[in-house]
Amino acid sequence: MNTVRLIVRRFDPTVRPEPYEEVYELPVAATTSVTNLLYEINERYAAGIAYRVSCHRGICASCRFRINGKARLGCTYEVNGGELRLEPASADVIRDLVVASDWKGLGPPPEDD
Amino acid sequence: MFRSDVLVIGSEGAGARAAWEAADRGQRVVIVTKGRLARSGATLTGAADLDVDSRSLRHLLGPAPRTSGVAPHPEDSPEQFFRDMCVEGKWLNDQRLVRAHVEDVPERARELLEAGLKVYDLRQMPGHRYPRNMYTSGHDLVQVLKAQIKRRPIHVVEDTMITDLLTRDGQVVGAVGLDLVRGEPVTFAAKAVVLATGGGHNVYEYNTGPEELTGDGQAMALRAGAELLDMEMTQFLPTTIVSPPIARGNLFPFLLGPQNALRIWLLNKYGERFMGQWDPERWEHTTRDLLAIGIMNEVVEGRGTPGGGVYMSLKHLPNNLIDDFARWGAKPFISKDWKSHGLSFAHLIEDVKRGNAIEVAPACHFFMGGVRIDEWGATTLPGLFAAGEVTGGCHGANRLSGNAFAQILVQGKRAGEAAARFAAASCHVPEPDAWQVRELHARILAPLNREGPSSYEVRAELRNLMQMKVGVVRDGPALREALARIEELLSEAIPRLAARNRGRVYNPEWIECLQTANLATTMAMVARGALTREESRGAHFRRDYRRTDNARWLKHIVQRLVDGRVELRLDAVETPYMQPPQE
Repeated sequence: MNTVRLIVRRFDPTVRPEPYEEVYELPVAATTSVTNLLYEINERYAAGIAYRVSCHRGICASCRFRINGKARLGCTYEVNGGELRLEPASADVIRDLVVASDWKGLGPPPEDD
Repeated sequence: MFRSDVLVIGSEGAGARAAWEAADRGQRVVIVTKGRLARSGATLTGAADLDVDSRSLRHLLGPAPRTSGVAPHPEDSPEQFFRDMCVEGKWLNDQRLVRAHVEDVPERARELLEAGLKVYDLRQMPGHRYPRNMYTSGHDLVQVLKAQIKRRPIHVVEDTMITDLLTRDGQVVGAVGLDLVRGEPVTFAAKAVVLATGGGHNVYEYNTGPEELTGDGQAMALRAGAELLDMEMTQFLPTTIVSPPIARGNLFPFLLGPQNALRIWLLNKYGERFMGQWDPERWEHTTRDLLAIGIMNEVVEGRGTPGGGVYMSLKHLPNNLIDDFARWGAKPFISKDWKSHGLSFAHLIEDVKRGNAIEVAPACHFFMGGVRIDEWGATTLPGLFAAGEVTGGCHGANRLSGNAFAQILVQGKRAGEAAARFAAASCHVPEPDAWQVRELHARILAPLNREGPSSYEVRAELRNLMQMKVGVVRDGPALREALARIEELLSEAIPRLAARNRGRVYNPEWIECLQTANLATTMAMVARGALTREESRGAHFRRDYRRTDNARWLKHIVQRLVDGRVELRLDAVETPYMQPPQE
C-alpha cells in the first residue's frame, strides 16, 4: 500500500495571527481525491482542517485549492501516493483552506439588536 | 437579528425560484444557505432533463426534431403527463401536487428559456409515453437562476447553517443557525419562511448527492412540529462506483451499462449472473428499481463484493468495441476521452480492458418523501412553506427521470408566491420568543462545550447501517434492528456529540456534529416509515412483503412530533382526478 504525505497550510486567526504548516501521512489503497484525504485526516487525527467541498465531481469548484503550487479542484485531483502541498486558493483566507466567497450580489441585510 | 418578510432557507433550484417570486411581489427577501450561491446544492449536479409534456414543448421549441432526432409529439398533453406520473409513482402521489406540476411546468420552462437557459436535446426517458425530456444542465440552470437573484433586491447570507425553525403560538416566525465564518449563532425573524434545503442523500453511505444534503430541512421541520410523509420512499441509482474512492457514488457505470447500450454483466462473488431471477428476459437491462433490488439482494444475502456491491463485468466484450462506445454511447455525459463532469474514467476503462470488473453498488439518488405541503407549498404549520426535494408527495413511490428540475421550478414559484401573500397579509407577526432563541443558540454551541463521542464515528456507523438494513432491500427484522440502534444513538450519543477541536471559525467538526444530529433524525424517519409499510411499492421493496397491496396500503405514512415523540398516522391517498386501476 502506498503512503501519501500532505503538507497543509493552516491558518486560524483566533488562535495565531500567522499561517503555519502541518504534515500528515496516510495510507492510500486505491486512487482517491484530495477532499477524501482531508475528510480522512479530520476523522483519524482530529485535525479539524477547514475546507469547502460540495459536488465531488468537479462542477461546483467549492474545493479549489492550490495543490503543489497550482490552482486545482480537490475533488477531482487524483492521489495514489507521494507528497502534496495544500494551500488556500487565494489570499482572502477565512481559515485553513477556506477562502471568502466570490458572490458579488447583495450580502446580508443590516442586523439589529 | 436579521429581519425579512420572507426568509428562504436554501439558495439553489427551489429556493432561488421562491426568492425570485417573493421579491417580485414586493416582499423583502433574505436567502440563507449553508454553502455558497450557485456553488452548492443538488440542482448544480443534475446532468439533467426538464420534463414538459410534448404538446407544450411543440409551442416552446417548435415541431422540428432535435439533435438526437426526437421531435415533440402532438398527442401528448398535461393530462397524459399526469397519468404517467401517477402510474410510475404507483398511485401514492398527492394528485393535487401532480396537477399543479403538469399544468405549471410549461410556463416555468418558458420563463427560463426566455432568461437564457440552453436546451441541448430532446429525449424520451423510461416511464414517459411521449418525449418530454428537455436536456439542459444543472450548471446552466443554476447560472440562470443566479442571474435572476442578482437582478432583484434579494439579500443572500452564505456560509450559514440553519439549525432550527422558530415558532410562536404554533406559527413559524423565523429560524436560528450557525454563521460558519464568524462561529456565532444567528437569528432570523420573518413573516414567512420557505424551506428549500433539498433531499437527505447523505443518510446513506453511497449516494449521488452533494456533501451538504444532510437532512437538515427534514429534521428541523419535524422538530418544529410539521408533518412529513412517505419518508420510506428513497430512490436509488442501481450501479454507481464503490472503488476507487475518488469516484465513489458516481453514476458513470450506469451511463456505461444499464442506462445506455453496452450489454454488461453483473456478477456476484461466485461469478454468477443473478439478474435473470428478477427479469428473465432483459437481465441487466431491466428497469432501475429491479436492478437496484437485484444487486442489493446479493449483498444482503452475503454474495456481494468486500465493498458491499457486485461486479460489473465487460470482459465478454472486445476492447475495440469498448473504445468505440466512447464515441457514440453516452453523449453528452461521457466524452470521447472518458471524462464525465470533472472526473476522468480513462484509468478505470484501461483496467476494464485488462479484464477487471468495476465494483458497483446502488446509491441514494432522490427523496420522494418529505415535508407535507399543499399545492401552494403550505406545510401543516402556519408561516412555513416548502418546495423542492425537501417536500413529499409529488412523485409518490417513484420519480420519473427529468421531474426533479420540473418540481423545483413549479413548487419554488408557488411557495414563493404563497409565502409573499402570507407575509403581505400578516399585519402583526409575533417577535421570536427570546427564551426559545436562547435555548436553541445554546444547543448550537453545545458541541464546543462538552466531552462526548466523535460525530465521525457515529456518522460512519449510522450510514453503513442505513445502506445495509434500510437500503434497497428491506425486511422487518433488519428494519427493527436498525431503527432500534438509530433511536438508541439519538437518545444517547447524539445529544453528547462533541467537537474535538474547539475553534469557532469554520470548524468542520462542529458543523459535522450539527449535521450528524439531523442525519440521525432523518434516518429514523426513513427507517420508521419503511418498517411500517408492510408491502412493496415503487422504490420501497420489502422481501417479506413483496406484493403491492392497494387494498391496505394506498396510504400516506405521516410522521409528526407530538410531546417529544414521533407519532405515526396513516392517511388514505386522495384521488380527486384519476382513479388507480382496480385489481
